[in-house]
Parts: sequence; C-alpha cells; structure tokens
Amino acid sequence: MLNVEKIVVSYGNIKAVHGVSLTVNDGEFVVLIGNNGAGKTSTLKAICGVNPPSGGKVNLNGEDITGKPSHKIAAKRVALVPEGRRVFAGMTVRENLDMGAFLRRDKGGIEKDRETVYELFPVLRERFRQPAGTLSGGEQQMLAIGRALMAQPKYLLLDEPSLGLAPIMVENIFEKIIQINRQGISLLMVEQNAFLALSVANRGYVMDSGEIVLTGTAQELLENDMVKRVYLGMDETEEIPI
Amino acid sequence: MSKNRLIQYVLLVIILVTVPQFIKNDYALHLLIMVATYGILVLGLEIILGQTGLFSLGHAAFFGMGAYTSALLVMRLGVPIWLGIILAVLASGILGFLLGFPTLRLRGDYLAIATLGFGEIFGLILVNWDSLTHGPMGIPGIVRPQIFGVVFDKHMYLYLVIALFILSLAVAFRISNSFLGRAFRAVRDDEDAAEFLGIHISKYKIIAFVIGGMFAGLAGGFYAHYVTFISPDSFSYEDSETLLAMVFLGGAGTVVGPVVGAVVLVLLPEILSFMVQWRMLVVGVIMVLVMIFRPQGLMGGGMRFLKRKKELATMAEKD
Repeated sequence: MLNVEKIVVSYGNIKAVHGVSLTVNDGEFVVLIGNNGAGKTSTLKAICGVNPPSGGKVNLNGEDITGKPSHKIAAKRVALVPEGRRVFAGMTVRENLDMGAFLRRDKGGIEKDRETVYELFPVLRERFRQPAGTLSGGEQQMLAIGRALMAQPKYLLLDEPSLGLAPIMVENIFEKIIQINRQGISLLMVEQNAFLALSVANRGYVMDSGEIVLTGTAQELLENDMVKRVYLGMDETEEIPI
Repeated sequence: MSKNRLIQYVLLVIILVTVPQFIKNDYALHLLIMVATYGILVLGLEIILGQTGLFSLGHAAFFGMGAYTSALLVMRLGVPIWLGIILAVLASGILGFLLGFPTLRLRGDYLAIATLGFGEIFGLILVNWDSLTHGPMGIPGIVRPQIFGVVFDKHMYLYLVIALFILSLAVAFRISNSFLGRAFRAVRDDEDAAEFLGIHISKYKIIAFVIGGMFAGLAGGFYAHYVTFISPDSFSYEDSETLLAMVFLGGAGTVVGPVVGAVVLVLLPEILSFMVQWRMLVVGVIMVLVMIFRPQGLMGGGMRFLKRKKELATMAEKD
C-alpha cells in the first residue's frame, strides 16, 4: 500500500501542495485529477523523491520513504512515467527499455519482460533499433511506459500520459494502461482529461489549489455535480468558477 | 569476436608494429607520438563530455597532474618510472574525484565555468608552489625510461605510446558497451529520467570524472618522460580548449570520433606549415565549416546528443 499523509511541497516561498493525503491500495487504479497548476504533478514528484516534500509522510508498505532520493525509491519498485515522456532520445528503443531494467541483474527475466513489453506495444518491437528521438509522440509515450515496466514495478506512477497526443492514440494507450493494471500493478495516474481518467480508474481524488477537494470511487466522481460542472464541462450555462 | 574481426585486429597490430620501422624521420615520429598521446587524452574527455555530457573545460589539469606526479616522484623520490606512471594515473583519478564531488549539482554552463576555474586553479598552483613544482621555470631533465639498460629512442617511445593507446581504446570501448556506458549516456540524455530509473546520477558523474582523469593521467605520465621537460604552460586552458575541439570535431559520444579529431587537429597545423602565418587561420576555417555542415562531428553520432539538448531547451522554455 502506498500511503501519502499530509504532504506539503514548496518551491521557495510558494506552496504548491498543502497537506495532501491519498492512498493507493494494492492492485488499485487511482487517478488524481484537477486543473492546470492544482499541484498534481508536484504531489507525484514528492512521492517519488524528485522534489522531496517539506512536510508530511510518504509510506510504502509501512516503510517511511519520505524524502529519499528517487533512485532509492525506484529500487523499491515504484516506477514513474514522467510528464513529457522523457525517453532517452539518443538511444535506440531497445536501449531505452534496457535502461528501465538498469537495477536488475537477472538477464533471463529482463529478456522475458522485454518480450512482454513488445507484446503490449508491438510497434516498439518493429522499431527496436530506431533512436527513440525519431518516434512519434504516442510511440514515445508507449516507450516511456514500457521502460518503466522493465523495472518490474509494483506501483506505477503516470504523469499526464495523454498530454499532446491525438485522441485515437490516447484511447489506445489508455487501453494498455488498463491491461497493465489487470496484471496486478497498482497505478496512480495524474491526468487533466478528467472524464477519460475517471472512466478507467477505480477511485479518484480531485485536487484544486494544492488541496484535495473531493474523493470517491470513479463512478461517484463522474456523477458528482461539482465534478460534472468544473471538470467535465457538462453544464454550459454556468460559468466555471475558477 | 568473429573470425573476420580477429583477422582485422591482427592486421592492425602488424601494421602498427611494422610501419614505424620504416619511418626514419624524427619529426614524423614525434608527430605520431603526439597524435597517440592526444588520442589517450581525448578518450578520457570523451568519457566525461561525449558519453556523460559533462561539459569540462579543465581537462588539461588532469593531463598536468599526471605529468607532474610522475616527474616529481621519479626526480625527487627516485620512484621507478613505470611505477611513477601508474601513480600518475591514480593521482589524476583522485583529482577527478576532487573535481567531480563539489560540482555534482552543477549542470551545463555552470559546470563548464566551474571546471574552467578548476583548471585555472590547478595552473596557478603549478606556477606558485615553487618549492614543489619549480614554478614557471618548469621541471627540466626528466629521466627517460630504459629497458634492459637501453635508453628509449623515438621508435621505442612510439611503440610504448601505441601500446598505451590501444589499451586505452580497448578500455574505452569496454566501458562504453557496459552498464557504465549506458548509465553515462542516460545521465547525458536526461538526468531526471535516469534518476527515476534507479540510476544514482551523482555516483556516475563522479565515476566519469575519475575515469576520464585516469586516462589523462596516463597520457601525462607518458608525456613527462617523453618530452623530458614540463612547465605550467603545457597544461593551460588553451590545451583544454584544443581537447574540447578534438572531441566535437571528431564526434562526441562515438569513442572513435574524438580520436579522429585528435589526429586531424595534431596533424593539420603541421601539414599546413608551408603556409606559415596563414595555417592557423585555415585550421580555424576548417573547424567552422565542419561545425556548420557536420555538427555531429566527422564521425557522426553526436548529432542526436546536440539535438536532444536543443529539444530539452525548447521544452524548458515551454514549462
């Protein structure tokens, strides 16, 4: 279980996240939705040690991992698919995947997992010798997810996987994300596309101005009036109060 | 290794062993020795700059550290030359650690300036620590190596430096193809992404500086006992700059590229020497042209790295 307790994230004097608590149970698919600048990415970065929180706690299966450097958190099988994909542009697709398995020494297992990733994203197999920088945005997103999977994560954190992708590609990638969750990997996904996120997840948290303002099962949130109005834009007669 | 490859290597060794025998001209031998020395030096910078992407403007300091370490140990303490060169390698490696550690958090331009300062400090120490280094006068009369009582002549120096160069090249290739090389390139392409994947980037940056320093230390140790006179002038900022130019001209990140760069930049000014005062101008023009028409360097490959930097820059702007 990944448990975040009242974390605070500040950049200098500016507080981006004030006291956010959330939980990801084993096997669960949790989404964190909210507008631009709500503090979603900051929360994710605090969990995986990129910007250590200035207050609060992050617990992984009862172990306190607050403020540990990201490479140590990665070793605890928490993988991040960062915003903007961040593949190693100069390396080939296959090298990128191997980088995901950097901490592993079991050659046979790595080989097997690479096959699994190729089965999940066949286009990566076709392009395995191509430099990652030459892939399309969607393919790079697939590669970023595949690379994270190569670390055999128990918890996969996804930051805006739909960002900048064509709708059909987004649909394709979300289908794969559901498949990954079905394999028993717990997911915490940050997403601006609230409708899409809630339609695939088990549970959700809604963030606004650095705080969690609402939480519930995905179904509950989809039916919630405030969510409908603000994030799903379902009532066009009313102005968005932000 | 395939059979063809093996034959290629054997042929290469035969050429390298026999060809020098036919070179009788001292000047030509000297140039070849300098090409190989610079070859070893740039292999070190290639690991730091080409593979790991750490912009270092102080590589000459590692070269100087190696040269001074071996020269002083041999001259003052009577250490055997071979041991002196080995200790030079270690000393430069330690210097690499001393540079890498405090500059860990620096990236890009900031790191470049810090390494520039580091090189300057090293030069100033050489000039001002009179009692140890003889100051700006340098150290003359450094002992030449001997083998079975025979003092090294130019041919023997050439064979020695070729052996050291081949050893360095093999080590550089081995590193580039190992998990170390992969970690270096991951740090170069995207530090943050590397960190998420469990790569302890600080550790690998320091390792890059240590290994790069050791290559330079080897070149320096050899150089001191070859030219038999060293002074702070031989390890100045200009030399760091030349090394940098060799790496980019040949192709950063390709291992072989920087060596090609070293060959070109050592030999070109000599080949053009008939032009007297115009030759450095011609060298400059050639470098500008290469950078315009082949920004990835003569041996290619580095392009992706530069492009990636550009991409990152535009991404940062968007943020």
